[in-house]
This record gives sequence, C-alpha cells and structure tokens, in this order.
Amino acid sequence: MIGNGRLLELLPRWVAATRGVEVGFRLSSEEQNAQTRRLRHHLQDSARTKSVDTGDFINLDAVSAVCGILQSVNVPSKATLLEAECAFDTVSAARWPSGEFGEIPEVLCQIAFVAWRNSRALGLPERAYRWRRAFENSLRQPSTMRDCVHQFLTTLSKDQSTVLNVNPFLGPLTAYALCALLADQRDVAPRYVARTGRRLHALVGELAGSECWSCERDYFRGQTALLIAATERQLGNRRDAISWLTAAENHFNRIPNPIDLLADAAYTRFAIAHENGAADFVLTGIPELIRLYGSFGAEHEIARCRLLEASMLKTAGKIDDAVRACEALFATENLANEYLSLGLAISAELRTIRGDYAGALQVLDRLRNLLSSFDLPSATAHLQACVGEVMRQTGRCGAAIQVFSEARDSFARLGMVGITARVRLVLGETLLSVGRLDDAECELSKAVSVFREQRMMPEIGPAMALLEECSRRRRNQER
Amino acid sequence: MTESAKRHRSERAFSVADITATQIEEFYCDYFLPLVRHAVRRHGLTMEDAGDVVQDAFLLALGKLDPAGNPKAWLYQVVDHLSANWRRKITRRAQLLARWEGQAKSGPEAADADESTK
Repeated sequence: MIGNGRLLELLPRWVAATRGVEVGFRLSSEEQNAQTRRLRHHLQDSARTKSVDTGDFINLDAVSAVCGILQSVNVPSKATLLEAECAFDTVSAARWPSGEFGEIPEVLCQIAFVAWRNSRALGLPERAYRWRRAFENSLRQPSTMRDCVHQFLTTLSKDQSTVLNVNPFLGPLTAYALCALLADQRDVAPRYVARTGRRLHALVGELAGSECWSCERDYFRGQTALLIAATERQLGNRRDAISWLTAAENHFNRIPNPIDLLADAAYTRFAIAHENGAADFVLTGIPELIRLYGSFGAEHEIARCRLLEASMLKTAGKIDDAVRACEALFATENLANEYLSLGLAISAELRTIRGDYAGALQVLDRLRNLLSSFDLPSATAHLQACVGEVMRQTGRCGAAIQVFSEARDSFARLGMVGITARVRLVLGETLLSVGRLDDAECELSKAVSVFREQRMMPEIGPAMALLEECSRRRRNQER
Repeated sequence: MTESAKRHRSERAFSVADITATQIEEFYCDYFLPLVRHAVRRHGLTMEDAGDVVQDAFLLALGKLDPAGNPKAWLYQVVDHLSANWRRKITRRAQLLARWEGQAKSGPEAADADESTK
C-alpha cells in the first residue's frame, strides 16, 4: 500500500515515460475474453452445484469483466441473480492483497447491487433484504468508491448548483450508495441528513430513464422521502415527518413487490404514533409488523420494532411487559450497537421506575462502556438523560440539573428539537423542585413553544401545569 | 490551487522525467490497473479502451490534480466521466454505422434521397 505522496511523485514520471506509447496488458484481448468466459462458466456451474470454489484462475481482471457484464444486463433474470450470488461468495472467499483503491469492497458493492436489483424485480423480498445488507456492509469498508459517494453527498449538502455538473454521473448504483451512506449518518448528523436528503430526493427524480429499470425512480424517491420522514421524526418535526412519510408511501405504492418498503414505512408511522402517545395503535400493530419482518428475515428491523415496543410499554406504564420486551431485544443475535445502547437506556429507566437505582446504575455503566468504543452521539445524549433521571429519583437534584443540562445541549447540538424540549420539561421540573423559579420558567417556556409548534399534545398539559406552579410560587414569594 | 503549488508540481514533472522499471511496475499495479478495472466494471469498457481512458485521466491530472484534496477520488471520478463520454461516443458511432448500413442496403439512390431531404 503506497500513499498519495507516492502517487503524486510517480504520476508525472509515468506520464512522461508512457507518452505516445500504448500501455499494454499481460494478456491479449482474446486471452482476457477467454478468461472471462471461463470465470462465467465456473460461476454458472457453482450456481447449479451450490458450491464456492476460488480456483487459481480467478483474478481481478476477470472478476471486473464479469462485474461489467452483470451490470449491463438490462432485464431482471434468475440466472443473473444466481451468477451474481456466486460471484459475491467467490470474491468474498478468495484472498486478495489490499489495494490502493479498496477494489474488493467496491467489487462486492457492485455485485451485491446486481443481486439486490434482480431479487427486488423478481419479487424475492428475503433475498433482496440479504443483498441490501451485504451492500451496506461492503459500502462501510474503506474504498475510493465510498470516498467519492461521501464527497458527492458533501457537495450536495452545500451547493445544489454544483451537483448539476455531476448529474450525468448519477446512475442507479450511485443513487443506491448515496441513500445507504446518508441513512448511515442519521444518528450522527440528523440535521445534515434531513437537508441533504431533500436535495437527493429532487436529484434522484432526474435519474436517466435509460439506466433505470421500471419504477426504480419511484424506489429511490420513496427511499429518500422515507429517510427524510424518519429523520424529521428524530428531530421532532412531526408535521414534516408525516408529510414526507405520505410521499414515501405514495411512491412505494407505484412499485411492484413493495412489501419490505411498506413495512419500513409502517415502522416510521408507528414511531411517530409512539411520540404522540398512541399506545393502543402502536402496541396492536407492532407484533404484526414483527411477523412481517420475520417473513423475510429482517432481524435488524425486528430489533428496531422490539425497541419501539419496549419504549411504548414503558410510556404506557406497563412496566413488566416493557421489561419482557427488553429481554426479547437483548436476546437478538448480533444486535446492532445503536439498538443495544438504546435498549440499555430503556432498561435503566425501567429499573429507575421500579426503584432499583443500583441496578439502573449498573446498566448505565454497561452503556457508558459501550458508548466509549462507538461514536453514537444520540445514544450518549440518552445516557445523560437517564443518568439525570436516576440522580433526580435518588434526591441528588443539583447533580441531576447538571446532567440534564448536558443532555439538553447534546440533543440540541444534534438538532433534535422534540426530545430537547422533553429534556427541558424534566429539567424545568427539577429546577422548580429546588426553588430556581426563573430558570425553571425559562426552560418550561422554551419547551412549551416547541410542544405547541410540533403539536406534541401529551407533553403540553404537564408543561403548562408546571408553568402555572411556577407562577403560583412566585406569587406566594411576593406576598 | 496556489501559484507556488503549480510551480512546484511542474518542476517535479519536468525535473524527474526518468522512471525505473520497478517504479513503472509499482505504478502499473497500484494505480493504472485498478483504475482500468474500475472503468471495465462500472462502464463495461474493454480493457484496451479503459487503458486509453485512464491514460487520458493521468494527463488531465498533471494539470488539474489538487495535491491537497483526495487525489485517488479525483482520478476515480475523472475516469468515470471520461468512460461515460467514451461509451456515449461508441453508442453514437454504432447508431451512425447502423443507419449507414441500412441506407447502403436499400441502395445508393435511397441514401442520396435521404441526404437531399436533410
């Protein structure tokens, strides 16, 4: 592996040495074609026998040629899907030297994309889901392709006019990678995702028709709309969340085989309902959604549903059921850190409600250890809020105020207005309990204005009651 | 890019024009071939066409590459743009050829008539 310095040093020398000379290859065109044909036969045989063999004739030149052929197939077919599946397994199993451009993750992304695209079009949700995950995992590996997609998003977030120049470059594979990379950043930078997602939504509508399979434009528009809806919900902008969610559902309804997409949309609808306190709606619908996700093996999404269920049960005061839902969540194999951390936060809250403060602190300690090795800023903010709650319940109001203030600032930095306002509500209540009326009034007023703006009805009542309590105590003090 | 950076780069380009066989091999394996394979995979070009595209990208890089940025990503994107143009050119040429062949089959009179209508 040589660095950029070496590239910059050798580039002019290479250009000078090869000027006017045709750079040849180790194999002639005929030999290359023969090698590509041999690899394709091998993959087609492997698809039939369901075996993976990384023969010594498998090299990156042949793999690249096969990749190009698979991507150029314009009609969905089972044969292409099987060949792509075998190609993915073969490339994954073979040993490759690490290269300058991160070619292997790029190759895997491209093959996974072909497999996903064909499984979607053929109406195979389980395989489409598997290949979507394989694509996302490959895209997370360092590669120049990833750098370019990242750069594209950064340009998109800053200046839309510049993007028009790179528009011809945008194809379905790039669009798919852009959606995946943007979705990955939702927890770290939700405001950025909401802003960039809107621009990406407009941009994917301009995808060249010749490059897209039927309804793919609707797929990408629906996916970006759903991403914006989920992010706006996270930020606390419920009205925007609902209008984007409706837009996403409209796009998905125009696509054949939309079961997995409509399941994702349903999850977002339940998450919005959870924040509106609609416990019956959420608790009735979530088990059905878990069954639906189970039908195509979407383990990651099932964990997300269990988390929502546990949180809703906690809010509805069904503490024992919430504890059981948390246990079901923790029993999930390969549970993603983001869900584990939020699950731990809920578990700590449940213990606090039950008065098991020592147990709560133990769970929070585990959460703190987990967060020290991962960059999960929203989970860190949740941790601060949980710690504040334990402090408050154990009568350490000074420390609780300090930690709640940190949680408020952390959520505000992420642009999550709804949850910031909720933390302000608890902080206001704590400030009121220690007689800091001015500070309490300030926090509560700010919270109420957000609750009103976002029509957060369940929160408005308690906030108004606390503001009235502030006024009453002030009047008493004046007397 | 600053003037001094441009000057520095052009000095480097012309002062060390010679390259050893080992360095050729190193550059060929680490930069040339991966970019060629990228154009083959992503745009369905032949290795030969992709080789020409990558050489064009290197030539462009001499004048325009910003050493302060991400040179590999820059090269990768330039190869993408050049490959897309290359593919468009080939498609256009194939369409023209097909039209010309069609006209040739239907006789020179038809081709002349077609020309005159234009």
